[in-house]
Formats: sequence, structure tokens, C-alpha cells
Amino acid sequence: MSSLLYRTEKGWLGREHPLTKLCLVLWAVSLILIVPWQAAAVLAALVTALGATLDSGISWLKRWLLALTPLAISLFIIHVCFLHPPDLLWFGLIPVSRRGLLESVSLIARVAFALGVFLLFLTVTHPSALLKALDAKKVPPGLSYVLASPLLLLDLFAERARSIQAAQQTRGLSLAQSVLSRLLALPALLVPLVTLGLMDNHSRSAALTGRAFRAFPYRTVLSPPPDQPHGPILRRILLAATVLQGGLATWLYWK
Amino acid sequence: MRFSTRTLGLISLAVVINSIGGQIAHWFRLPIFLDSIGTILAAVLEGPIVGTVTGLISNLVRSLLIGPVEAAFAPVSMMIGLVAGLCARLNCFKYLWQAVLAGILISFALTLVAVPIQVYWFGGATGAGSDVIIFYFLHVGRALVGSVALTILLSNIADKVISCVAVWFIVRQLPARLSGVYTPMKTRHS
Repeated sequence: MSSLLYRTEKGWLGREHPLTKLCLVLWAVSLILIVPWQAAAVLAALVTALGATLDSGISWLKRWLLALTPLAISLFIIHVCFLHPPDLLWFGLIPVSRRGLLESVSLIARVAFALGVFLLFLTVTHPSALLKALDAKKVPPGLSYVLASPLLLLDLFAERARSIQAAQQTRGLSLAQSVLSRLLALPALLVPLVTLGLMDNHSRSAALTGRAFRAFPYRTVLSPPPDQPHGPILRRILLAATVLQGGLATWLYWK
Repeated sequence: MRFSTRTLGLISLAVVINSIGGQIAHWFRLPIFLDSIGTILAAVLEGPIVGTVTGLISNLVRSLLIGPVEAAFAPVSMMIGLVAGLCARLNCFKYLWQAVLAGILISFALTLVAVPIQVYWFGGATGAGSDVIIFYFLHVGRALVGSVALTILLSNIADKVISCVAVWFIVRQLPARLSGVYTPMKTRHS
């Protein structure tokens, strides 16, 4: 679980019900499609301020900048230098386009906001809390299983792959040759790794079936995430607003 | 439609294989992604619907580990699973040349889905190293959609061909008692 983006958060965002936070993300992402770029820039600044005030604000800020910076640089170069004819000289040297500049700022603000909101959600919501919330809302157990089990198996498989690779290198498999030789050596790692995984899956699924996994259409959760009194109605309002905003964005696009 | 518990386990396994594929490519110092071997494997073993679901779950899980951009590209992974599954259904993973062809077909299909996402949601960029190729195509006068499409196709074709060949090889090496339990494989063996 250490490879997750989640960090412990004691503030109101951490206490909010996971499904309410998910609805907030959907609403926010659909909102950014319909607001003008100036509003998008203000919203991006607000989400940055909100992220910075988290208990893990520095970590959130680092991840957000890591995701955004290369994207923003690429967007800037594409729109300012290539897509529109230049009509301005920066420092008397670099030809740029005013329209491209405006377009790139608009796109970067929208992407920054959407990335920031999504990253906020991932930072303050542990996947197990989200899965518990889904189980409590009577989502089929199979769905929770396919979302949760990869996270539990990931470290085990990475370790197994490392062991297979180390054993094969000890027995003379060299990775210091040409690209073709390294490509040809790939099945030596992949075949045992996948075969072992499929064998595990065979016995694991038999054990799960033997323990009446999915015998009932939903699971009972002993400790569901606490919900606020306003939670259910807020989620409905947010979902309705998301549908409306999404529809409006589609209409504006085709108009 | 209700998947069996074994199929759910296969989907989880495929998602894990996708997630560590990048790590394996790094160990072997290969300039490819290797992040869809699991999706192609699930599609070949259990068909296009399982392949499509695996693609979706894979990107949702990766968005929890890597970052939110992965979730936006979930339809691309779903397309990989769908086309790989359809190829398998048409018995196109029987010979090596068919696996190569399937890889090429998957690359073209994923380009169709990835271009609108990259152009209309991200303004044409992803922040990856391949953006330099987009700059080049734009510099030589190509339109944005064409530049993005060519870049996606060029950066994916080798990866998907190698992934399909790897899956073809893995499936051939599987013991019959293991491969025979998956429905499409059973049909093929009979």
C-alpha cells in the first residue's frame, strides 16, 4: 500500500464521506469545461491553496507540479510556437503568437484545476475507505474485489519478478547485450511470472468459491465510513449538477 | 453478465502484470511501455469483454498509483483489450505472424481513441518524452491532429507488437491444464 498516492489527512476533507468526495471531483471536472479561462485560473489557484493546506501539503504540491509541469511546458510550446502564426517577439528574439498564448494559458489553467482536484481526492481518500463505502452502498462484491486485489498483489508480484530476474542473472542471463538480445530474454522472465500467477489464480478462485465469496449479491460492512447528515442529499445535488454541466459543455462545444 | 470468480482473479492478475510491465521494461532497458501485456493476455484467454473490463480497471488502478492522467486514457486501454479479444476470437493468435498483425491492428485502433482524448482534453500534449515528436511534426507543417496521431502510432506500434508476441509466446508455453480452463481457449483446443 506504500506505493499509493494516499496520505493521512485529519482535516474536513479527510473526514468527508468517500462517495461525497468522488461526486465533488465529478462536479468540479464538469464545471471546468463550461467556465471562462479567467474563472478556471482562479479555480486552479484556489485548488492549489487548498492542496497546500493539507497535512501532506508539500507532498501534494510536489506530485501536482510533477504531473503538471511537463504537460504545461508541452502545451505552451505547441500552442505558442507552432499552432498559430507568430505576431509578437519576446525579448526581441522569440516569435510567439498572442492567440496561442491565450489558448495555452486557458488550457493549462483547466488542466491544472482538473489534475489538482483529482490528486486531492487520491491524496485524502484511501482506496479501502472508498471500497468500504461502495460495499456499504450495496455495490456487487466482485467489483470491490477487482479494484482492491491488484493493490494487494502488486508488491508481491514485483518482488516475485525481482527474484526470478535475480535467479536468471545468477545463471548467466545477461542484460548488457544488444536491444534484440534483451528482447529475446524477455520471455525468460515473463513466462514463469505469468504461469505462476495463473496457477495462483486457479487455486485462489477455488478457495474464494469454497468460502462462499459472492454467494450473496452484496457484502455487509461492519464499519462503514461515517456519513454526514447532509451527505446523501449533497451527493444527489452534485450528480445532478454534473449531468447538467456535462450537457451544457457538450451543447456549447457543438454550437 | 456475471463473470466467474476465476475471471475476476484473471482481471486482477492482468492489472498487476500491466502495473509491473513498466518496471520490467526498465530492468531490461527497453525503450517501450510494456503496460498492456496483462490486458492482451486477459483478452486472449477470456475474450473481448474481459479484455475491455481489464483495460478500464487497469487504468483506474494505475491512476491511484501514478496519477490522474492515467484515468483519462482508460478508453485507450479498453480499446486495446477489445481489439485483442476480437483478434483472439477470430483465432488470430495462432501463429507468430498473426500476433504481429494483431499488434499492428491494436496500434491503429488505440490511435483512433487516444487522439481525441489527447487533443481535446489535453490540448495535444501529455508531458511525456514523445511530445518532442509532436513538436517536430508541427514544425514541418503538419496539423495538430495529424501530428498527435502519427506520434501515438509511432510510439505504440513497436510496444504493442512486442506485447502481442510476448502474449502469443506465453499462451503457447502454458500447460494445457491451465490454458484449457479459459473458455475461448477451450473452444480453440476442441
